Amino acid sequence: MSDANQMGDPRLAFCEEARDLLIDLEAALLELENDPRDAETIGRVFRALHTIKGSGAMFGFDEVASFTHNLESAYDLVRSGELAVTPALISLTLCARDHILHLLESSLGHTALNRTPGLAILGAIREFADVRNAVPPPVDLTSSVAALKEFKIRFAPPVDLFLRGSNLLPLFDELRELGDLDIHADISALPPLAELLPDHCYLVWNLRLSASCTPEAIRDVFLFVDDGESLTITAVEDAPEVAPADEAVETPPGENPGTAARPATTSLRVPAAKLDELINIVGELVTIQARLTRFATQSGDIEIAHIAEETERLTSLLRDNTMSLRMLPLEATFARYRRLVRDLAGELGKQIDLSTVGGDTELDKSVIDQIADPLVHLIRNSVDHGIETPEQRRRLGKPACGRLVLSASHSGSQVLIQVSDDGNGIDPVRVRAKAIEKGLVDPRAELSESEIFSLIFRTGFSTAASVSSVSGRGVGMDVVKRNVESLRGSIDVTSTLGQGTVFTLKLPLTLAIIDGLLVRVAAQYFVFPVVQVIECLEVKTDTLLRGREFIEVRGKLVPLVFLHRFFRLGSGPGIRTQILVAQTTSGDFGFVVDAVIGDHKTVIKQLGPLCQQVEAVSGATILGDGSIALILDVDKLAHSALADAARPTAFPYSWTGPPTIAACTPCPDFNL
Amino acid sequence: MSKTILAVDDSASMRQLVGFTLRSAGFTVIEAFDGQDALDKLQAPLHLVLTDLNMPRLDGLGLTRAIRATANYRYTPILLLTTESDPARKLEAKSAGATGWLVKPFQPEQLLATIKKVLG
Repeated sequence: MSDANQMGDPRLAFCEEARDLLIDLEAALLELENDPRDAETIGRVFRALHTIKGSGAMFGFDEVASFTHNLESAYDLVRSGELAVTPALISLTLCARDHILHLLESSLGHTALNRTPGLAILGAIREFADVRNAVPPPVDLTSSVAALKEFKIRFAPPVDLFLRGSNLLPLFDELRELGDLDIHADISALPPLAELLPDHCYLVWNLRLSASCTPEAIRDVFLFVDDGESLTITAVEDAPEVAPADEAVETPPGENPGTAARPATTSLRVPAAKLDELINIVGELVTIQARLTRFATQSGDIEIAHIAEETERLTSLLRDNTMSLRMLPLEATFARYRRLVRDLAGELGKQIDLSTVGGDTELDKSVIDQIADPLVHLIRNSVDHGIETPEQRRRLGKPACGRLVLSASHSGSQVLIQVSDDGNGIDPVRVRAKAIEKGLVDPRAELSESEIFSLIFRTGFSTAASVSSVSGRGVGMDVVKRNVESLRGSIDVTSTLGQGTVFTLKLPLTLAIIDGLLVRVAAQYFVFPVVQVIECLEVKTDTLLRGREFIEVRGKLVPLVFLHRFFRLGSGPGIRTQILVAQTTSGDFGFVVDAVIGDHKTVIKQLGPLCQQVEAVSGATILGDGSIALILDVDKLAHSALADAARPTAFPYSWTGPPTIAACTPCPDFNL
Repeated sequence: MSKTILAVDDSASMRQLVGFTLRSAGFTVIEAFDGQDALDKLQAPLHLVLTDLNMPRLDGLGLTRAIRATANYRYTPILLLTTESDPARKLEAKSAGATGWLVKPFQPEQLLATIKKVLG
């Protein structure tokens, strides 16, 4: 059945939803810690627990449900003001929240179940609140079977019966299923027609039922229509049953349903793979569209040109919209760090106030996913090494509570994420000394402050003078830098000794589109990522060909990579040649090409599985005329060019003779 | 013609489960994520409203009152699906105009049986 396919596994859907709720719960708890009396936040906490419990029981996560039930009861007391929110309660709830996550994961078989922390948490919760019903009372569905009996049933419904949407016919049908039923309507209460209100119920029913059931089962049929006094059931031999006394119920103060406090977001969950497919298709559409535009321009037909123009407009709208589907606000990611900072600060005995700015800045989901770990590392670093203990801070005349700021903002087609703290900063003298000790720099080298700071990102440079459990986890800043660069981003650090440190991450908005520079080598087109290109030079080819592997650019020697040779294309450069100077992880490199065609914003298409191992190419794009341009991974290109140069067989080189297919190892076969 | 049911719950997985159960039983289902959303999605013909009690923006009781105050849906049955079984709360629901309630957790068969009780 197609419905079942669309639905997927509801248990998994619940888990996904529960995880979201737990994230929200965590955020709400942390907010509550700042403002323990905020009824709105208490409501949010309660609702999250309530939903996890309710849905958990529905989907068979009984352990989750019964555990959460206790928490929910405690927060019910908080909600009614009988229990005050204390930091201890928040900490306990946070632990409990983690345990719920653990219970969820273990129910799915991801981890082995460990009940011990749960029992401790439950014990502590019971100390907070006298929570009795550890397990929600099960619904009793069994009714004892009795011999065939005759019942007299008098049903005098309230006059507003129909106004509650009730319908009596199905009830009588249901009674008939229990046994033989005889129905008499008593119409004596019916008013004259002029006074009769059509939606009021004036009738009283006298029923005789012979069935082998209990009076409770009959009462059950009238469950929704009986207000406690309208139904009288008498077993024919028995004494008349006494109707239960009227219950006094306090009506709550009137609610105002119109005003919404927290706007709910209307959203759909879509598997990321579907989005990728959509982006892929839109990419192809963009390509076809470019062909149409070219054709329209060449044909000179005004009608076609008009259509092409309209299509172009719609296509670019479609592309932008599709891209925006993958964009998520950074808010959720930032919220996760709140907990991290809180726990770390507690562990290290520090006081830290984390504030976030620009949480609504949107970034491609895959970028967000991959940036989470580097950010954790930077934050750990700031908390551990940056911000001092309250005593140290007081001695330095700073406020005891350290400040950590996470901010995000747009800058062109990039997003800037900053992690800044007001801690002790980085000491350039110590960094330099350490780098010399590790053999990373020449002791005689004169380095600017920013060059010194950039040393902390070098492999082999460990920042931790004392390895602590917090940041000494074997991941260095070099890994952070590599992660960021693999996203085509960059990382910078500035620091003032005694005043703080700022790490700035520059990231592309999306990984699906690249801002590229289109170049041609022989008949083949390539795309360089614009962010890495420093400048373009034009030189006479004969100045290069005398075996020179370097060019001098602004007083610096830059090694050259001849793309003709690297990819074995054509017969070498013409009289004049173009050089693209680009920043790579192996330093600046000059890439020799035939022509620089220009700026090219393009949708990246992944190479097929056959070409995945081709290192120097990160993807491909289709040009307007249908030809393929390969997107170059400049870092890997420079790296393998260095490796090639180290091999003696690479010299001497010659441009002569087209290569055989077997020699084309770095070059994917475009015709496949 | 299949009967139309409006299912209101802020939990997407609950909506999914209820929606699947009802669709499998041949009902047409409209889903709404809270009371306010449900009001926006009211449309004839509507044979039954199933709603959660505890929801952001507009809760189940507020939704029930609002539906009863709308001329076209004054007599539409409204069932509350809730974890609360407190009798006082039930009476409150009744005075708001709810037709009935079903206590969570329930089995899909219980849900269908309860709907049958109301719709016949």
